[in-house]
Amino acid sequence: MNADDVADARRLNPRLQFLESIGLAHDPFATPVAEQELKIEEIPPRFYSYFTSPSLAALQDQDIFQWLRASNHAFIYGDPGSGKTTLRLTLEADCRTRVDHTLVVTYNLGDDIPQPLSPEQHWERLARTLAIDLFIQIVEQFDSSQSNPPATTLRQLMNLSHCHLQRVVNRILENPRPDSPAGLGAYWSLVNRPAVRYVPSSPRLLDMLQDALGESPCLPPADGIELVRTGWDIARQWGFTRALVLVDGVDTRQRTVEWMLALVEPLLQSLAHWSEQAIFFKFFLPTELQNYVQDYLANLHLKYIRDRIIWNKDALRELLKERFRAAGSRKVGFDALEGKGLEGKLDELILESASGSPRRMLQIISALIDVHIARAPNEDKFTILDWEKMRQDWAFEPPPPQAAS
Amino acid sequence: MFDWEEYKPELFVEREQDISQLLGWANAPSVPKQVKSLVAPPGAGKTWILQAVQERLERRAHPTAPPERLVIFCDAPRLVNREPTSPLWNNSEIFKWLEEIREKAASLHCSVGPIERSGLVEIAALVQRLVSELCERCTLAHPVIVLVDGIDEVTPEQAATIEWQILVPFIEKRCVRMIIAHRDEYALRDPLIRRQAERSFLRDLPAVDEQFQKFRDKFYSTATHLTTANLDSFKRSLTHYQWNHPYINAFLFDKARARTDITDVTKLITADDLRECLYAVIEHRDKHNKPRFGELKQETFDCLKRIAKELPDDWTLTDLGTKLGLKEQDECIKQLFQYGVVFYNSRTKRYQLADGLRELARALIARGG
Repeated sequence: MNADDVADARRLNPRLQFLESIGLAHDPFATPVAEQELKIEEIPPRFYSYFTSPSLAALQDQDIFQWLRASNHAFIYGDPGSGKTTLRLTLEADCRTRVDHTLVVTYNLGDDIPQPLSPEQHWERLARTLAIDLFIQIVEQFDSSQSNPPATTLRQLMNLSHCHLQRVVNRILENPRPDSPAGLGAYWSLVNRPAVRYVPSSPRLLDMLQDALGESPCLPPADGIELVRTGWDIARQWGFTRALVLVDGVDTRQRTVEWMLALVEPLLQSLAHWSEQAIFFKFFLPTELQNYVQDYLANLHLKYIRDRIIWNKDALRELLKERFRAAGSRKVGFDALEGKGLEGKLDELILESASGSPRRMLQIISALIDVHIARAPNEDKFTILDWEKMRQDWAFEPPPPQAAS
Repeated sequence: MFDWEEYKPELFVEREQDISQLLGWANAPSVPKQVKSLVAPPGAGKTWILQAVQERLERRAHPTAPPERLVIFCDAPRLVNREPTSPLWNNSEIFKWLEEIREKAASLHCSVGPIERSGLVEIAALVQRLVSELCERCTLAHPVIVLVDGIDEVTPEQAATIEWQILVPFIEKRCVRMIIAHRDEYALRDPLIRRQAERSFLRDLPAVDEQFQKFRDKFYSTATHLTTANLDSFKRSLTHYQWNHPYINAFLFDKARARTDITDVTKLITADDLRECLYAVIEHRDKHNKPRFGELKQETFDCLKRIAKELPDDWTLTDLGTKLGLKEQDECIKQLFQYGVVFYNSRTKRYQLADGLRELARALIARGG
């Protein structure tokens, strides 16, 4: 979108007009769902600028990513809307931008799976996603890599990816300097991965990709755990010394607890095996699985870390502040926008009514903005009328936000 | 013309607490965040502090001696072309800068490959390669320190590209720590840098008498018309101004120094000097005498004077509207924000003019300027 398109969008969109009038360069409250925020076409995705660390008891004073990037398996539990996927996506971005020979693999189980997967099906899927993530991270770190494996390793990855990577390679070779602030990272969307950094091209990289493409057709491999090992062997040749597999999406599509447990069981069963290979799993699971999974793990005698995502008011306030700041605002909350009946209490009302859920907080803010625009689009202050109307019209999970009085 | 670069930090800034804190951070065996963002209003001495940090970390035996550790100074405006029609990168300056880093590394027995200048390899790839070699091939005893200045003096697009293509490749490796000096108004754009940045605000200046003494010893030790004996009278001659801004202090000392023919120290500074000083701080001209943030328009200057005169030290947008009939979106207010002259203070949750500038504008108004 160029500057003229942005200006046109603003003219046609009263919500954007209003947000601009209160000093926000874009809408940081447009959607409360991580994957949807990430889909908004912008490079670098503004989604990553919103990140605020939740309160995890196990953290103490440690940085959340330092804690999560340790060489052990991890279990992070959270209610819907508590930010599990946001944390997973940001952890992935952190690993891809602060590199330390760690390969990060996203293993998303959120797609339409008719029945819980067998171990073989898991390994086949994992090998495919590992190949895609490995290829991306090889290209991203190409100029800083001290390793120099042959082009055939990239060819193997193209096969392991079930040929999804072939399209990416073709596009890179067709246009090695795309008109995008992400450079080659612009092509990652072809394999459903976000651009988290600028990716330069160089003649050496292009030569290697050309060699990897070769003449022979791409051949998808057979199934089996060996596929993951093959992918991991290639990763080692490229200088990666360990891998973190981020497991997410288990609780999508209204799955039952039993179904979800059956889905993750083959992974849990194999954790000891993967630790020996320096492959560590980081699970982002719904709170309702916590007791079952912990009971299951008790019999496996594994070393792991775990915690549950909690949002206290300070953490939510910080999140609100980051959203304002990311949108270029000089304000860091709603206190400068309090009108009649809400003087001195709008921020507190929002934080209290969020009940410890970032998603709910964003839903409240978004609904409040919509109600205000419908009532008084040219006024920059929210009043008690807006708040009460927003409560009356509340269409999200009950109960409605608390009364202002 | 008074020159920003003329004042050596160790002679004039003397912000020991700030400098020690940054040195402590740079020397610590481990730090929770890789980036320190040093926040202060325009003219508060950010550049000088970075220079002081560089000098103390390098600990050269004499100016041409090799440094004791690798410190990289990244002057963001140097890396880009300022004309909107030119390509974004100033390639010749970037190659020169990378070459300087390479030579400095070599003086520390860290040999890195030659910088490819064919233009076929992108700048980001060159930086990535250089940083990788510094971190993985060399055995440096201390982390590499990168000091970033002027990131808020280039256009937003240029700043985003510098962050994305130059600064991120530096901090992708753990052997690098970075200090980015910027105004409070500047929001770091890259998500990784934002996550990694720990904000740190500049503390108060040392006493003005101490600053004056340093200035005098260095620049006009033989002058007789303005001395420590009559310094108080000189200081009091400017109502409102609290002598709390290093650049303004230096500017006014310098003006006073030149007027050797005036014996009454209360008349050493004129209203024109105050106006000139305000323009100089706000426009922050570079060594080619180009204003780093564009020419300050008369309407914007008038707007600044009205705020200084009619609003209290801090204020709300409602005050701005009811008392001055101005809005946040008005061109003059937008320009004052862009210059960093007006900012939102997240601690008081109110708006204000930058310290020093507000009082100087009031001093100018008091003199009928």
